[in-house]
Amino acid sequence: MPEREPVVGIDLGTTNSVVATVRDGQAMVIANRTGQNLTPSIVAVAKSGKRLVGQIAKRQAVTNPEDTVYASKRLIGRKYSTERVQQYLKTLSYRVVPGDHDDLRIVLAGREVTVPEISAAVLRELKLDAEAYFGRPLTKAVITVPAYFNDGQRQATKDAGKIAGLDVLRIINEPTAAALAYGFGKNVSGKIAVFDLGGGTFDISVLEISKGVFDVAATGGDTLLGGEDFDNRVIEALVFGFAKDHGIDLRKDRMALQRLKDAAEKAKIELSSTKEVQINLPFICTPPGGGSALHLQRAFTREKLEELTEDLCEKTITIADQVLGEAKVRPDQLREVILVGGMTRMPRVVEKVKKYFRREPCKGVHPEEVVALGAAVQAHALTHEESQVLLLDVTPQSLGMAIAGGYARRLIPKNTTVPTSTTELFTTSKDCQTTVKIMVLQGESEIARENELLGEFMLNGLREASRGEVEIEVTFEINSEGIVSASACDKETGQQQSITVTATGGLTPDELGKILESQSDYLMEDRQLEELNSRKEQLEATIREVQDLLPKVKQITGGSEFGVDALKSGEESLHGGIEALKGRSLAAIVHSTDQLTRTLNAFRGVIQRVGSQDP
Amino acid sequence: MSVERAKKLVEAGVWLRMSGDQEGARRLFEHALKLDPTNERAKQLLESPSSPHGQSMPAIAAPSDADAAPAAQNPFLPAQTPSRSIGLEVDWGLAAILPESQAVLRAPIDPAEPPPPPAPPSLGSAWDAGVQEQTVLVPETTQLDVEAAGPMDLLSADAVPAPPTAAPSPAAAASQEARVQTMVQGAIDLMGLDDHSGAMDLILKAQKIAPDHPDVRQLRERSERTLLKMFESKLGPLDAVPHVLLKQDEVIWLNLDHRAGFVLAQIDGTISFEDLFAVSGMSRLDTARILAQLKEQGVISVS
Repeated sequence: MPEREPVVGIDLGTTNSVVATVRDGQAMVIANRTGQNLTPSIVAVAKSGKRLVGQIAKRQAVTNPEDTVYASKRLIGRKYSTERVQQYLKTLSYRVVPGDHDDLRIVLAGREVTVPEISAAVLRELKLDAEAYFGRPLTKAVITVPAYFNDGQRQATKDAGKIAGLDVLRIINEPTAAALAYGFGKNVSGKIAVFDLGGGTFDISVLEISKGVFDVAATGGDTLLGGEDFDNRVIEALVFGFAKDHGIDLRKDRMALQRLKDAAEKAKIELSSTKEVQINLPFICTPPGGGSALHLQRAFTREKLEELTEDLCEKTITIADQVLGEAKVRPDQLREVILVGGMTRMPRVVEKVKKYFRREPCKGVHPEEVVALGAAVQAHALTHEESQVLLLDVTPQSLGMAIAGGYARRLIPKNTTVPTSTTELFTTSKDCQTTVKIMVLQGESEIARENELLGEFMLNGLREASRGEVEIEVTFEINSEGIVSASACDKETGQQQSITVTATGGLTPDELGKILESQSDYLMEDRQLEELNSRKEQLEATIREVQDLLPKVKQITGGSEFGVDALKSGEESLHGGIEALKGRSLAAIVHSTDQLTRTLNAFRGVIQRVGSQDP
Repeated sequence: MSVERAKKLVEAGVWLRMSGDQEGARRLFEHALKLDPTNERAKQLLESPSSPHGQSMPAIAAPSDADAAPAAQNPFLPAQTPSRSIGLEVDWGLAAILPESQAVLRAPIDPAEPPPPPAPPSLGSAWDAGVQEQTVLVPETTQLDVEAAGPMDLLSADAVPAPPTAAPSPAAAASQEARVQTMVQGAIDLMGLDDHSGAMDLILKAQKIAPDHPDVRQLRERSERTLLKMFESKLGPLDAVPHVLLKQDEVIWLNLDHRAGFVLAQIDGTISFEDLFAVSGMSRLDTARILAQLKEQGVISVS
């Protein structure tokens, strides 16, 4: 029986991403090629022009801020002109410009790239890590997104997967994935809360699980609250202490700031398991005017960290209370609370959660990995018939239409299980109105313009009558593929108009096609580079073997005819091989390897023959 | 012809000595004597400052103890041979452990006193950033009659004219061109003698005077390429992953500046030399130089 094609679950996070799979019935994280389970969701182009993804990109984020893209998840599938995006752009160190259809383009090393391309770079890195683990190509994945992502953002994430060479089996909500990782679909019914405090965002969701069906009953949070804020508090304390001692503001030096950032994050993580850490940053700065470089050496306690971040911890609870309040759920109605995100390892956060929810949160699975593990469980379920977990898709945001006065009328509320359909009756709002415009909106605001316009159409030829007399029946429908259709029907004449809205992530099919084409060239280059490196390694090993045997062969064949010819040719091949190693010509490397392999065989033959003649 | 060339080499040597490269200067003086064995000035300069303490330049302020003394000897490292600080576009990451001969060229820094005014741009270099020179040598091609004067007469703390603000006169331009050509020639000679660091010092000095001079620019590119190759060859395969050999509490005994400290902090046994070039935020040449020195001093190694 042929081995099944591998499938993975991917948590494509704002700060870090994780890839996981199910092996022998157990969900497990696949470590990246540097041995870490978490890969920073950062893409950069170094000053040398080298493309960097993950940990290495993170390490130069402060010294090369203009060409380092982080937290692109906050931009994916969004419109450039929206106020939210405009506000957020002010906080970024890299440049973002508008695309042709109000999408966003990131300027990276002078080139404009789409947001899905950035996410694709991270996904491709994870794909390569998984392929290294499986030892064969990987094409199928389930990717998670926040529960509040709209259709456009989900579609953009799918596009990113496609660009990375992945067939995205399904996009699932992060809290749902977390619940799946705990196996809640099988053994728990009722409401559970997912408290997700990650590197850059805080999300709180309430899931209603019933007979293996996961429904997002409520979701909310703060997209600008996360581990980085905690790190910044530590950095501030260190900077302040150093300024007090030496009168130097370390934030003005990018190199110092990069080191502070790394050290602050490390200290924060360590303080989750220990009470005190030593922060040592030797040669952190050279004083103005010269002199010996100064060191930053300081002890930092958990108590101090908690004191510095108390308001941040409290803020998460305030938001959680708000979200639960809106969903009319009391903490004591919850069956379980799941902790997600590295920041929930912080003892003070756990304490706060315990106090508010009045229960011990679930801790069985690593909080940074739980979402990816759940996605892997779902990916496995989708490709293995024996799996029992059923996931129903729900509408992430409400659907409605614009009505007179600039208001929005909600027809399908958020979290409605799809497929779904609803019909409502409207009337004309003006006397002698013969035309009505149906604007399909997505979002939660009562004000029409604050929602996202998915599409619009006109229904003409209405009977001229006083306002309120002509009745129009409007139907909204979402099929199981997530495609929205809206229709309006003049009840009197039976005349009907409709529109179908397909979610777009900001890229047109043409644009996506072009990106895929250029990406395949890039992938090709990448594979060639891998081939080159592997051939170089082979040649290096052969050179070493020949070099090892050469003195012995010289000794054995000294003076003989073979000695002159074979040794001369062997030495020439060796020289050729060393030269080929310095270059990047695959043909030259392959040629030299072949030559040296022949030399090696000849040398071995000589040694064997002479060896066997020895008494 | 060789008399003229020898004269230029002597001038270039004086420049080099000013930048602290005694060895490079000595080579140039020797080379000048080969070309013109009668060049008295070359003989004089060769004889007098060959002592690394620069007694022949008494007017140069002696460094303070703190400045002149090499950094605290690291008890965990073998005794270090003083290495020369090479000047590039920016200060090198690794602070040089200066031999006294070079240290004497630097002014004492008294934290209690306000820093002295910066050296005129035509004579200073980015190389000197952070270390104020109190005295400067005026080379032969200035209006002073240096052949007549002994080296002692060349020293002046205050006599350096302020940098010209208006466009230089044709005569001044010609003099400037001559100075640049002298340094270019000196740099080429040093490169011929395999002293690329010394050559780079001269090139940088020349570039300070004539930033857009095509010969200087070309020479600089050539020199940088050579230096880079040299440093990279010291590192070995660039895809190799270096490790720090010292413990955290041993590292502080090193004599590094913050850039070298930054590079050292990035070395954690997971990233290769090639990746370090990408994350350092500095030029490839500066990073290679720092790494080569760290490796040479036994601070890092490749397993």
